[in-house]
Amino acid sequence: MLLSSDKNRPSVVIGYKNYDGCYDNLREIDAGLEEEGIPYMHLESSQNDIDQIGYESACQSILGVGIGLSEGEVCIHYNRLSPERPLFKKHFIKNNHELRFMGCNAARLVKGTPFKVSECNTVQENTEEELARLIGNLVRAMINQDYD
Amino acid sequence: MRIIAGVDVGNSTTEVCLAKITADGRKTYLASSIVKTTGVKGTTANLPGIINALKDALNMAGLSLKDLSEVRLNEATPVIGDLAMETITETIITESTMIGHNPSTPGGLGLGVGKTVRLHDLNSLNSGESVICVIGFGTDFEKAANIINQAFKKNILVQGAIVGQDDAVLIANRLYKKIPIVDEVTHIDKVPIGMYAAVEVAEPGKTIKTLCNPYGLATVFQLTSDETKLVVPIARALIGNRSAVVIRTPQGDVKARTIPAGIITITGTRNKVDVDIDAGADIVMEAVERVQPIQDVYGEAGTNVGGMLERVREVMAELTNQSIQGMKIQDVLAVDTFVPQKVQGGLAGEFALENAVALAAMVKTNRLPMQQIADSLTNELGVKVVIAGVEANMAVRGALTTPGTAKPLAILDMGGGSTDAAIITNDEKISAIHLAGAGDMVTMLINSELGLDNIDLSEDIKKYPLAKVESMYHIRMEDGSVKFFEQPLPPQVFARVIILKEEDMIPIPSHHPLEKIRMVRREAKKRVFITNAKRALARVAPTGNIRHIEFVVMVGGSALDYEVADMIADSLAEYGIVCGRGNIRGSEGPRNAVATGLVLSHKVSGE
Repeated sequence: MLLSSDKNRPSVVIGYKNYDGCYDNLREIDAGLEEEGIPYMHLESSQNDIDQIGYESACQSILGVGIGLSEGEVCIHYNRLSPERPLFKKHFIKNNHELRFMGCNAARLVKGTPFKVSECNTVQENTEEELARLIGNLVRAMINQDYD
Repeated sequence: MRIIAGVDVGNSTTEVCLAKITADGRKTYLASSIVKTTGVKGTTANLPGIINALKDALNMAGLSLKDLSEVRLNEATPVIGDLAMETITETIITESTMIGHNPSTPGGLGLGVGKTVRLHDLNSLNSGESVICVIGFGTDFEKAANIINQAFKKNILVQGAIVGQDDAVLIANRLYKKIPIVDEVTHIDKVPIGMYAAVEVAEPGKTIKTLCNPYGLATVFQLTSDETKLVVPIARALIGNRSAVVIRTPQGDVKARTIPAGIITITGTRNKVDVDIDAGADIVMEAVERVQPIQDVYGEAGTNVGGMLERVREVMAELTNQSIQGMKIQDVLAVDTFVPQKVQGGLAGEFALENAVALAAMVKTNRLPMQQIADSLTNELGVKVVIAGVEANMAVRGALTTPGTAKPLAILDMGGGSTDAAIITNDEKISAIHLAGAGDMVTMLINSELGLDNIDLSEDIKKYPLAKVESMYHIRMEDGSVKFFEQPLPPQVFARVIILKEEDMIPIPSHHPLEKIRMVRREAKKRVFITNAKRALARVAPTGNIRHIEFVVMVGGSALDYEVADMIADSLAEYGIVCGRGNIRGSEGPRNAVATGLVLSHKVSGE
């Protein structure tokens, strides 16, 4: 309902690959953005890597926020991040909730409010780096416990 | 030439002061060390900690255990503190229900009143009926909007809607008419159907006007004046919300109840007083002062406070192998506070702030089996171990090594479980006192007033400064200054208030703004530490007048807290005394006072 084709309107750009069922998936992402009150527009993408789709969208967006959608993968990107490191990236099957959350969180990135966390996952899928850091902190904390 | 070590076993830490004493009595300090105390203070479980601390200090001085001539151990004063909280009001909503969780994106605008009806039953109604539409989970927002629009066409007066999913704006955007819509109602299936309900949504940035006003509720539900009295707790719980729903059930009844928090009995040498905790912290503390010196404190069976007072006695009895009858509670500290309690009858997990009183109690006894520890240590190390004297004496002597101090000097030692003070007068008389209420109580107050239900997080909030994450690359600290990062910050902290804990950023899960968290932290510290600093100094001051103490030195863990020492120094400024964090031996800061005093006392005895 809020599809805007005016390229000058500040909005989140959703870049997508055309596949069977992509419009249903787009609808869910759109709903997340609309509920949070942030305008959006669609852009069919010629890129093939989800990170690239997302980054291209972010660069097209006046607000600097982009979403990438391909069959089974969705990401949120930001023009201030490195192209190969999107803010969020998720695999999805037919999961409407994940897509809705993506739209919602892209809007929250624009608004500067804390991200919504989906019930089943933590905010970011932990990379090996992250896990190593977490475990390192835990062990360190156990050895040098705080003095009161 | 002898190498001696002063060892101070505290509740949290074990500290060592290592010194070399030549034949002519001259001492040179070699090293200091600190480790976490192993086991409960006063038990042989302390041995591993003591040995580690000794080894650390000896290593630093390039020595080993066989070089040690004597270990001087403190005669630890066993002090145990504990805490409890009593709520003194409770908001219970029976029968009537309300939704006041204030979702972030409600839809539409205005006030709508009507009977609750399920979405799928909407189109079987008659025209002219005023209804509030209830939309459960699993309904697509477009479908929901279509059904409501159809109902509009049939002149069914849909005045508002309540939705389970986060769909309020989506639905509102697709309706022909503007009606208020509240969403994110997790327990939507509990919304009673066929009842009279009111839904109100205000503009962004504004708050509701009708449902938070008892007369507004009276107008909407046509209440009598007696009934209006009963809805005050609902109105109160909805103040400040941008949206709300109130559903009136036939026996609709809401109560704000005062829960009897119980009586505590304070016994002194001359008199005995019963105090109602409901009366609030000031009344309790007045009674505590009237009954000085306190001999014992009892609570009522079945109350939180009563249970805590018994527990504190039990733990001490077990620790010192004495009978529970011999355990006397000698001080309590009461502090008024708030605790968020779940509103019973709320449908979306709402919380209301209820008044509460937090109570800290302290029990102290004379005997701790330190000789046991000394003997085990001698067996283990083959070194002479001496129990060198009362802790307070050692602490004061150690504190006097702070440059700029002189007698009469008082020390304030604020730990986790108790606040201790000792004074040495001009004629070398030393007296000491222990009070209930210290670091642990501050943590508990932060935990309850912010509704965190997480003691570890509250402890971190107490100890470390805050910041707000403003973008992916910068944070704003408490004082307004900005810190920039070259790598993007992790999404978990985006737009959140965080704790800057050493190398880490810990996001705080609540929605409180930074200023509020900062205020709660500082007020909690003031209410516990400043109150106790003044109480403690007044008790040890020879004339009962704080002004007659010339020097006050703060030692111990809490003296390291970046805010507490300054707050106390500030509050004591009016008494014209010199007050500040200790600097033991001009190099150790507020640490190592007792351990240093133990070394000093060896010299004094000329051994």
